[in-house]
Amino acid sequence: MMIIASAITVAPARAHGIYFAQRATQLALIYGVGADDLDAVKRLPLVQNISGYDAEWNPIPTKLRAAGPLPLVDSESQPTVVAAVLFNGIWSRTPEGEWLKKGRDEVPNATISEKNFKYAVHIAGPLTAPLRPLPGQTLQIVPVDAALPALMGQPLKLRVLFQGKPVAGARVLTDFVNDPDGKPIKSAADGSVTIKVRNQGLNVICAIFDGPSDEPAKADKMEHLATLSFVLPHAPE
Amino acid sequence: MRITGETMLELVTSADGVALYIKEEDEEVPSAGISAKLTFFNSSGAKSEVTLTPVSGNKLEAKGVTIPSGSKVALQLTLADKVSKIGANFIIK
Repeated sequence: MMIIASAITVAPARAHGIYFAQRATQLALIYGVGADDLDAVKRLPLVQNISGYDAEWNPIPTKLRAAGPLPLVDSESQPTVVAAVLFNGIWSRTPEGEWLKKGRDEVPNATISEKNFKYAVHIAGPLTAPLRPLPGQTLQIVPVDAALPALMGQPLKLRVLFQGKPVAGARVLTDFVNDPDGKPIKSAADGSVTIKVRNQGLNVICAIFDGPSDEPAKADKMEHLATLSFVLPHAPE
Repeated sequence: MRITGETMLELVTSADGVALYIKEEDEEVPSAGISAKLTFFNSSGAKSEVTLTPVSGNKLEAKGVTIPSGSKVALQLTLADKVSKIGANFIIK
């Protein structure tokens, strides 16, 4: 008799992020991590903010439109930058390792209780000036220069901002989609990290930073997870 | 010219104005029902928005529009279903 046992490990929701990517020629908001591309439409009520900006940082009226399982960016004109904020709620881990969507006030013996915020910024067109701190992006990754490298493997200097200011100790993953378990690089005292661009295609860079809780009775901390996404075009066919 | 996915977009400027031609997989895409909005900034940072309308075949145009050489142009197409949108960026030669 052969017994086959298998276990499927499901990444806790706190490990997921949001980012923007092209889907069927249109720009979509993705909720996931690694190859996991989950039901983002179901999570639309959690999106606190969606915004688009032109090349001179003028806001462009922007919303998300559900198209099947995908929220698509729907803006009045072509944005240069798109950004979103999603509040994923308060989560507590029991001593048995189970994650519950409850605060410490409801799970007093939790080993950890945290509020989870997800942020996403996508560079959709050429910038005429370096990316600036955007409203609502409590944690944000910004390229130091306006111009992005043209080729994968080239260096890209980034700065991680928390509440608009450079922050040290943020954990930066260089490829949130294809290497979500990669060893994070910590941002320096001036918030900077220098990475090598991973992909001649979609790049999703992730930063994670734990900030103080604004509701200590319910959460020990606030986990902020921010992505910066952009595409390096491939060679013409 | 820009290729976004399988869609080829060709933006042509002339003394008459601006024209956009759309192809997919080497076939002309009928412009009927499609609208296009161009956004660009002049050297002093003033923003201009131009709407292109279908003419015939796979062509949309806006007459009497001048886009200076070197301008960075953001283009948004709204397809015939009135909801699907495709974006592209150009630098005018």
